[in-house]
Amino acid sequence: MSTSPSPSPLLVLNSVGKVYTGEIETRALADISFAVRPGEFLAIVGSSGSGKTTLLNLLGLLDTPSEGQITLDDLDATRLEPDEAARLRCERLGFIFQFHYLLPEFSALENALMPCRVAGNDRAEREESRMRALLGRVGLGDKLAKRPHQLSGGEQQRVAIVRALANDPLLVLADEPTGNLDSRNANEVFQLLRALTRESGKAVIMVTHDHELAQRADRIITLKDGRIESDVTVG
Amino acid sequence: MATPFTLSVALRQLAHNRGQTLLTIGVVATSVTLIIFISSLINGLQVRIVNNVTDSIAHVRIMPEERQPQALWERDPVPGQPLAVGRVAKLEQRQRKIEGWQPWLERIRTLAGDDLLVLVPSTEGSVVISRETKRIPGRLLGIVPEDYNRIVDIQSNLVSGRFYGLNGGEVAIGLRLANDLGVALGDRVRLLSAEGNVSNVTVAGIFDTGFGSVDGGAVFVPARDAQSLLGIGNAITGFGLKVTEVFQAERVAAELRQQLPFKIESWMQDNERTLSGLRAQSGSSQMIVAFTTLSAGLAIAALMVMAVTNKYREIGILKAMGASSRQILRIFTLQGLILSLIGALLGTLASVGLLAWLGSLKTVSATTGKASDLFPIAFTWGNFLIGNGLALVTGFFASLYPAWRASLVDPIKVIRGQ
Repeated sequence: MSTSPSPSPLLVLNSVGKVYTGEIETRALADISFAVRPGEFLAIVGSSGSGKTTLLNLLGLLDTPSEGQITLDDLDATRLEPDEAARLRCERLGFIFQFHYLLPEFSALENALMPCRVAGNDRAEREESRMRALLGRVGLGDKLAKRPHQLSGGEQQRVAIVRALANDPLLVLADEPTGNLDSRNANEVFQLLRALTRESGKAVIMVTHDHELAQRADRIITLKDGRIESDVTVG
Repeated sequence: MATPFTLSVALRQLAHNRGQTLLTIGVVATSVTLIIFISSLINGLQVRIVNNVTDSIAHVRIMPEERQPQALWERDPVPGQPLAVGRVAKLEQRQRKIEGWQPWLERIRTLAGDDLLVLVPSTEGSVVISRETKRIPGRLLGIVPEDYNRIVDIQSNLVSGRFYGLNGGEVAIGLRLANDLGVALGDRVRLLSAEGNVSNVTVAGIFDTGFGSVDGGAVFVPARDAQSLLGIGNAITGFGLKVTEVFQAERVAAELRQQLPFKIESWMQDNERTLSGLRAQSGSSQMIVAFTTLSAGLAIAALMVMAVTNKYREIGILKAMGASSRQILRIFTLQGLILSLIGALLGTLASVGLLAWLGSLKTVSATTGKASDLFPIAFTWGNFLIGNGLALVTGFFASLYPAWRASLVDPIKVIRGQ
């Protein structure tokens, strides 16, 4: 196991662990420590049940660790009140899910602007031209007013990628972003994700079980039984 | 408070789930219609019943006190006067009257103050009205027609002849009494008072008020004629009052009782059973309103719980994107308020239309041929406010539970697809 050599890391995990308590106590993660620097593209791989999704939930401030510490942008994000975590998610994180999860009542442009709307309407108005440009960049310039059901799976996921960048986040968390797409669309979507985040200098943490896709990241962390098995910088 | 984000999501979801939205609005609109309609109908019914009772009588009647027999030990001894002891005998039947009544008129007017609408002196007594072999007991009312008409409207209910300007030797009677006696306008009838005085008078007016007690038994003569028949000189037998607010009659009567040496009765005392019926009717109306509100609330809550369940995934994603629980709560309470507001407006329009239509339906009396309202509708702003206020409050509270459930959606479960 190794840590990133960044002098000012964006995200730092220090001995993070997660135990689910219930009738049977289950340890999902143990002693997870790594750091992510700005602009880095990190892939987390591992077999089913290795703790990938649990780790992503912790990184996304959707869950709290049972032990250890998470620091996001020099802020202790280990145990936040739900509303504080929501505000931080809104301001500093972008999400891409395996399923696009676009809101069916809103157009492509409105869906892309949704995180800005959550943050406040002024922001949505400010960011609208940037979102139009980004949607144009991903080939949806003529489909801004289309509703999700009028778009193909690949197009929907492209809207989801643009949406993840709406609030100009520091870190984009992607959970199997191409898992629901055919290989051609998966490749296109990945390339767009890679290009857009690289251009804007965003850090990306992508959870995937696709090792081929992971090889195209800057760095790969492999999880096994809730622990980091390897942390390798690619190329 | 609604923000552009919460309002836009709330409105878009409502527009997107058109069927469910229309169903919820329909439930609210039907409930508001029912509340306003039932309240207006029952109010109207009560107004009609109260009017039927109070339009034919004075709201407050002031009469001389009845003389009561007094026991020896109840009397204050008068020094130098011996007490006579004898057997207790039935009081002599004497006409009760108020002598020198004019100063009392002003006193009553002052005491009743703003509550007073009409105050008239009256001379009443029992009389037998006869024509040839027919004899019918009636109630003699000696009045000034122009004044008394403000107590019971005779003038506008005249079938023939006149009431205003009734001269000495003339009488105005109801259509039913005229039919029973077999007399017409201009016929002569004989009046025999309980005091044994007789007067032959001419039928100068025949009226039909629709009140059985007035049309079948009242015999109106000028005050002077009544005083002669009853043998009371210039005295009167009482005063009749109409008050501005019928349900304040008992309070006004109670206040007058404190100040005046007379027997004072209100229509509310005389009609306790009617009032008790009205109270029961009000209670039933309130129960109907309460249960309608409750059912509407439950229906709104059930439909919104369904909406929340259908939107589970979207709610989770919004939360993952940073929407706070409070924002989610607002989205669904806003939906509850919007649905209630639109439902209340539609319900009000529907009820106003329904009431206007029902209010236009008339029924014609088989006996008199007079047209009257089939449904006694009394639409008030109070009913409107109650219907709409209840809808909005119910909509808001009914949306709280589904909204609270929505605010608790765990984005992790949504992302995992659970």
